[in-house]
Amino acid sequence: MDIETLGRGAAEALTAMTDRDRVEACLGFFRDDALFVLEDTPFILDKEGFRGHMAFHLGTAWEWVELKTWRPDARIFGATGLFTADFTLRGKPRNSGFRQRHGALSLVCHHDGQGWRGLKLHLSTLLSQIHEASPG
Amino acid sequence: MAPPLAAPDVGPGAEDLRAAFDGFVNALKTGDLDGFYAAIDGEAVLMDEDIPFRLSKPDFVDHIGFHTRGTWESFAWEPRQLSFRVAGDSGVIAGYSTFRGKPVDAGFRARYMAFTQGWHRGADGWRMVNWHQSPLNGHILEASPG
Repeated sequence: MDIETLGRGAAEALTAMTDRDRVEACLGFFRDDALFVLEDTPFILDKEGFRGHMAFHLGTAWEWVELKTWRPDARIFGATGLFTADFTLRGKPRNSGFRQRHGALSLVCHHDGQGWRGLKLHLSTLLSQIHEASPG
Repeated sequence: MAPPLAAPDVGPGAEDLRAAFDGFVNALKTGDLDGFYAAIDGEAVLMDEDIPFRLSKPDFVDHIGFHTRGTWESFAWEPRQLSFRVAGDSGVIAGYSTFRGKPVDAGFRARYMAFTQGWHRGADGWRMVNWHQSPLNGHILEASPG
């Protein structure tokens, strides 16, 4: 239960999230009761909703896609782990030009004595933190 | 017929997390900023709805200080459709919220968002370690290439 294993586990899960050959490893990182807010969905998802959403993206929607994290930060509060980062979701959709979406993410984990497991993941674009942030 | 707003989804063992969250929300509603800040761990990382940077607790306190320095006639943060999950001494909350109020010298504002929080239960009870807020337009506008 240390920051290194938290940071490594979180980074591996997030990298696997957009890799169709490893997405099951990402899903396995999260507890069955985990909650998700993703950058392109305005609804809170449970794990099955997250699985279905990633299956859509990792089907035929993209030629390739990856979640690049920047400036990661991991910290521990007892058996609670917090991983935050800036991110760029980038890739080449089929039948469209490349895409880059920039945002911030937060991942809260619990160490169950065996390892770190994800409890919630929240990704959001920076668009609404800037656009219309002020009334005047 | 289901109610228009779902009752809170309080997972097993999450009742006291719900109580801590209610205390946190009530502190903000009543203007008890000391009580509001006391619920936030000193090492928390926060993503507010109107700043595109991750914030430390001192950063967040500074930002709220701006908002309370004569910029609003009134404002409120109203959480809705909440889900609570607890694993050991780790807790998370997900929900929607409306930040609404009346700025000085401008019409009313209502911003609708999703939010998540992470909490840790220590010897002195639950403390928030993460609060991530994101207005829904950022999850809808330009979400797709076609």
